[in-house]
Amino acid sequence: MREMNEHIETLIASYLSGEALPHEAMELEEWKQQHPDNQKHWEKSEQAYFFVRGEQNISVDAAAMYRNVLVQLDVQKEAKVLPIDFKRYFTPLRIAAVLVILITGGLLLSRLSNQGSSTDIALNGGENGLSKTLDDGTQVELDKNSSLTLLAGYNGKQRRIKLTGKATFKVEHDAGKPFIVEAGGVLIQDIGTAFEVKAQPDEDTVEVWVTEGIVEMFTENDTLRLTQNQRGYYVPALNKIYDERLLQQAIEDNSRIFHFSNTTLGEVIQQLNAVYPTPISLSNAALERCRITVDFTNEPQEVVVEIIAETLGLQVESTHGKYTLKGEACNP
Amino acid sequence: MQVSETDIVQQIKAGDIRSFEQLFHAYCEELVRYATTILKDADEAQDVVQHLFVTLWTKRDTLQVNSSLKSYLYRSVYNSSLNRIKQVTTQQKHEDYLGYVAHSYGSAASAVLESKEVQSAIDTAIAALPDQCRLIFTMSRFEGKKYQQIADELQLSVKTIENQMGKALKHMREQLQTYLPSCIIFLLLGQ
Repeated sequence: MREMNEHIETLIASYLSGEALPHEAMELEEWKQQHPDNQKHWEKSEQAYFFVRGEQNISVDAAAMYRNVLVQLDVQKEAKVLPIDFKRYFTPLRIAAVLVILITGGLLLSRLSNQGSSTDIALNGGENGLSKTLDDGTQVELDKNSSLTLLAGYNGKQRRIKLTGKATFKVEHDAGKPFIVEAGGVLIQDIGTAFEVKAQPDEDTVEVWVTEGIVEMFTENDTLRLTQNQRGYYVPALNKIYDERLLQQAIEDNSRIFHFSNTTLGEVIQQLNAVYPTPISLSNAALERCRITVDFTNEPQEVVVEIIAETLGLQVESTHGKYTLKGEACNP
Repeated sequence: MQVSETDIVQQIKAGDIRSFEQLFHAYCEELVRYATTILKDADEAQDVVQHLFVTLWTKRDTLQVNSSLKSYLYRSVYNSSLNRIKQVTTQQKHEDYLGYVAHSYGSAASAVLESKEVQSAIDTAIAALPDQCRLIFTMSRFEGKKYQQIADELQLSVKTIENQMGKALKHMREQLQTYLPSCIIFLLLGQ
């Protein structure tokens, strides 16, 4: 035992003096993790070592470092470019349906343990939802049928949560313990203050709405800083983050792109009517079953209607502010 | 669920950025701490670790981990740190530990030292060390000398220097125990 103690004291001193070889440094880290007392012993030794020179312990902001790594990686260069039906992700209906990540005021209730939990902790909203105050004082309101996971080490060096569904958090910024929520593939980190979160990552879009404070949304490729009353949007399928203006622009730029492939005319008309101002109707319900394969890219409505009519051998009637496609039922 | 190191390597090789991120967060802090002890410079240490992970990702296709992943990371940090020290042509930066300390650490820390009571406690603790132990501790901690240098100068073995440094640090920790928490609170308030 005594020999072991001496060995550890020597190891700690060597390590702090910058003399430890890789396997010795690893041995020390393993020893620290074996027991909380070991960790305390280490911390006091480290403090004493720096204290005699009026220095501070080494502190590491791993989250900031990881962002630097991502910047250096410029993952975008390697990202595979997939043809994506942009419109699919940005119909007005879907935008309206996305849920919101809200950021409002809150108070840090306590700074507790330094260790954090050693395993993941799962919380489930069940049928009625769940309200809970976590060890670090963070208040969580988890919506029904939603779940979240406090990743191992939560409230240690950082507070990391994975969210599926919808939840509300009240947290306060603590630079020493970054609070990060992962929802639908985007990471959301508080930068300057308390915040409250609701997220619905299984939708096509994750929306972040800051009502107070500063929050950063980031992925490997994008970072967006949001302040009070700003909204940010993440589209998992595109792995892109948009601010409100860019999203509107994207919707406008891309809302009139259609790829129809053996699609029924009924479905085609429905999609076109959702975007173009002049309603299109069919003179004969049997026409709904006609199938068409065609692409439109930001075409004027009259062109779209004419192309459909020509392809299917129909006539177009334009009266009283609407288009009517006339003809017999298509051959099966 | 524990994922094995082999799985993590395979996942990273397959381009799984989430596994890469997990690996980063699992080891970042201890690697920076280790690099800082060698380089005596927290910024340089962070650079070394960031660079290691950037390289690991960009060259993941050819990643060869023969022993454990952890050993690989530690050895990489160690080698890169030593290379950086070699690159500093004058070595002044590394050897002039005093200059680094003044630069790297905040005024709050210095303010603690300005407290006469604290300084006197440190002086007393150092003075209470046995002669040889005190000399070795001072040469290492205040003159920034490497164990080998001290061993050469005092004509002792490196093993002896290691042991004496261990004893000295244990002594300092015990003697200064009552001051350490106040130091931490002070530093927090001062930030």
